Amino acid sequence: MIRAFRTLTINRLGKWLISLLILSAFTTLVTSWHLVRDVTNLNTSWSDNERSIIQKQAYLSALRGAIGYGGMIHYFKNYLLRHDKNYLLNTHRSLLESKIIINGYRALGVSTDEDRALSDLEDVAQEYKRAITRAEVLVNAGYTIAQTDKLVSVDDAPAIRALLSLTDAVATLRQAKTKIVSTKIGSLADTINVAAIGIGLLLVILILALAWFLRSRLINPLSRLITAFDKVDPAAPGLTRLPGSGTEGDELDMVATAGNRFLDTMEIHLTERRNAEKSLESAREIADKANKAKSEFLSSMSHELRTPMNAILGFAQMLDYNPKEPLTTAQKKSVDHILKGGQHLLELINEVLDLAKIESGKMEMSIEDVSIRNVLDECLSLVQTMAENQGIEIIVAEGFDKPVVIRSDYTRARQALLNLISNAVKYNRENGKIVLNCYVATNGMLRISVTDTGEGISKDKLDELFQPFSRLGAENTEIEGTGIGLVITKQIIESMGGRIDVESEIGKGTTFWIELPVSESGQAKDLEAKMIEEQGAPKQLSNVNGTILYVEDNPANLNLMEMIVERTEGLSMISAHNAELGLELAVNKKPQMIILDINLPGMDGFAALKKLQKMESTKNIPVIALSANAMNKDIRKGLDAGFKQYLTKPIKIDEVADAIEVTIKTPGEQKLI
Amino acid sequence: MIKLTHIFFVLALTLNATATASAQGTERSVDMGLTPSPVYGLWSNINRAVIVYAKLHSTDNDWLRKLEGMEPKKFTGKEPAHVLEQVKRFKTELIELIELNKHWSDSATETLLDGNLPNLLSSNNNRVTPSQVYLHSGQVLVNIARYILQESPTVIEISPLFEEQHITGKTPSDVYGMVDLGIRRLEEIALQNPMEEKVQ
Repeated sequence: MIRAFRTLTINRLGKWLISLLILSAFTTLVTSWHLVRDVTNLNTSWSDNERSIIQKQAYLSALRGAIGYGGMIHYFKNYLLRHDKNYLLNTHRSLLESKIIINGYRALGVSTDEDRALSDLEDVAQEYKRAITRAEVLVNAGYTIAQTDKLVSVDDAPAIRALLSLTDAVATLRQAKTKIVSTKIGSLADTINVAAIGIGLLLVILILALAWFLRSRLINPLSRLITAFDKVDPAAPGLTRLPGSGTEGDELDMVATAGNRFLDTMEIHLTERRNAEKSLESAREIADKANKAKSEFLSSMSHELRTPMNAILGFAQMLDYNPKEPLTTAQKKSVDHILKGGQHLLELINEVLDLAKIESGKMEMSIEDVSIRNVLDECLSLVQTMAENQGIEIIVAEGFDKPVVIRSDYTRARQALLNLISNAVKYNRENGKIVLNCYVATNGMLRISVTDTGEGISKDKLDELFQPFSRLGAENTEIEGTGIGLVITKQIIESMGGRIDVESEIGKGTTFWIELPVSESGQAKDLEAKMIEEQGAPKQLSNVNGTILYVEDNPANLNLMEMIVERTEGLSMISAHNAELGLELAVNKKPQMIILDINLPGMDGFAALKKLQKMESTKNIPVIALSANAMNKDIRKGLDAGFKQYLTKPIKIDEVADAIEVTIKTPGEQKLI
Repeated sequence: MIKLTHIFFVLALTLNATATASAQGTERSVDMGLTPSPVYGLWSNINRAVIVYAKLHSTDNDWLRKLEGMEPKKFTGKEPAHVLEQVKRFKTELIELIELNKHWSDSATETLLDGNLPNLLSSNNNRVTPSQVYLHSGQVLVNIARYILQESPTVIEISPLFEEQHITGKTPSDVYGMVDLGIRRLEEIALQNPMEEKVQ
């Protein structure tokens, strides 16, 4: 510690102040120690004096008893008067007592007066001893009392005087010793006062000096440093300079120097980062442009591909289902091939489009409360036939019986689960099983698992599952697939705040599971599920009469719709290629229902619907939307706007036919979700 | 230049010296200032009194001469405490001997120096001093003297028994030897049992 103190370069004055403070503390300690010792000694001296005085007073009292009129003198006189030997014995006893008491008194230490008095008493005792010995001889010789008393006479006055002298000496001694002790107490009190005042003043001066030093040499420079730090511009830290202490080489000066170096380093790093950010920004802009170009290309290609696909599939359906001109077996086989191939191509287009949307961040999600049971039921209705064809049993576990509601986009949740279940069907063994389960996991998410009894996937290939166009060898089999379904599923699930994973064992099967957030409200608003439920199963057009106005800019779609309408007797169709013409026809022809495309040149479908609803002559005509905008939010928007139904392209004949029949038969009922 | 470490060292030494000085206590004891010599003188008188005591009850001159001719044994290393124990033993022997005599009054066993004198002789650390031995010895002398006075059929002088012996240079071991001599004389008297006939 002392070495660390010595190496301090903060300030020589500060070091001396601290040293003096420590020195003062030690001085205080030593002084206090000495004062306490003096007080203790004084107390001991006082106690010794008191004990000595008390002891002497006790001896004095004993001497009075042994020598005075209750002792030696008394016994001696009685012996002379009575010649009783008991008095003789007691006289000797008293002499013995006086001897030991005088010795004891002397042992305590005596003054001159005391010594003189004690010597007198010893002389008196000797005189009495001689007298008692002589008296005994005389008594034994037969002398009378008067003769003995006359011959042996001792003056007791010296004894009494000696006792009084000793009493005075003790009193004088006590006064003298009390005076000495009082003087010592006074002197000690003065010393304590001087020491307390001196040490107190010294400490006050040193503390004030130290406070001044700390403020001027430590706190003020530190405050200046703090102020300078506060003023550092985050954008340009190198412009700020931290002030030193003014004493080169001391600790505060070193702190300021180190701080300035730090600010300079920050400035360099900030400059480098700004340059890097600029580079990154340029790269990002280039990437964004490229991505936008790719998305636009994909969108354009998708639209260009979907338009002819609409015609191919539509007219193939017309050929397949035309009751007036039924196909031959060979023709039907060919048309089935067209439909199957077309469906596969459409699916591929849709998935590629989805992937493009996901990658470009353009996939829109409408997160809402969704009943997982409804999602599952819809998926099952779509795959049930396919599963039955392969003899696969689908087992739904009890977890789905609970009314669990998740937060997700209904359409996308259905898409993801359907993909997993359809995969489980496609890659299962014949007469296999699929087990569907769901439960709320420990992390609060709803886990839905799809377990098949297929061949399983080796662990080293599991990571490839979620790579685009990776089919793990299935491309060499008859099983159809695009190789991007799981990629899209993963992206969809993660976009909805969930996660997906897979576990598999060769020869036993594979389990895919997804986790989605559970809704706290528990109220499902499965728009599409309700819509489907209300729409019911497609029905054949029968006993439907009236005119339909179809507003559509695509001629192929117009032709297809016309062929659908022609299949029903009593039903006719008028058409318009834009909204303005459609409105005019609606007013003039007053059709029983209107089918309206949304994306029209000029006025769009929503604007046209609004005008139809405003006009008295057309406001009661039911209007159905038929659009390629198939997002959940598009459907809700359409229904909210007043469309009786909202159908999506490509046109599905049964679906359109059923919508026409329902709408014409119940024109007043608006199906609002 | 004086370094700080030097100052701290001096301060530490000062503190240590102060602490050591204050830790030293003073042992006080009360003594009456008597040396073993006056006690020895007292026991010379007691032994003379024992001879006088024996003469009261025996006329066997040979035995009396033998009794008077007994010498103190040499002892070494004795302390006042040992001497006091020996004095107490003498007192016990004396009382046993005297109690055989019906003429002995109860007052013979009373304390010689009663009153507050025993308190004056007390020591704050219970250390036995020559003064305490002197006290007990004086008690013994007075009691023997009283007994001699009461039992002597003729007039007898006791004052010589209280003559002060001016002896110097004696040690507690010398005093112990004198007390031992007294005890042996009492035992000799008891063996002679001069009071037995009177008791019967």
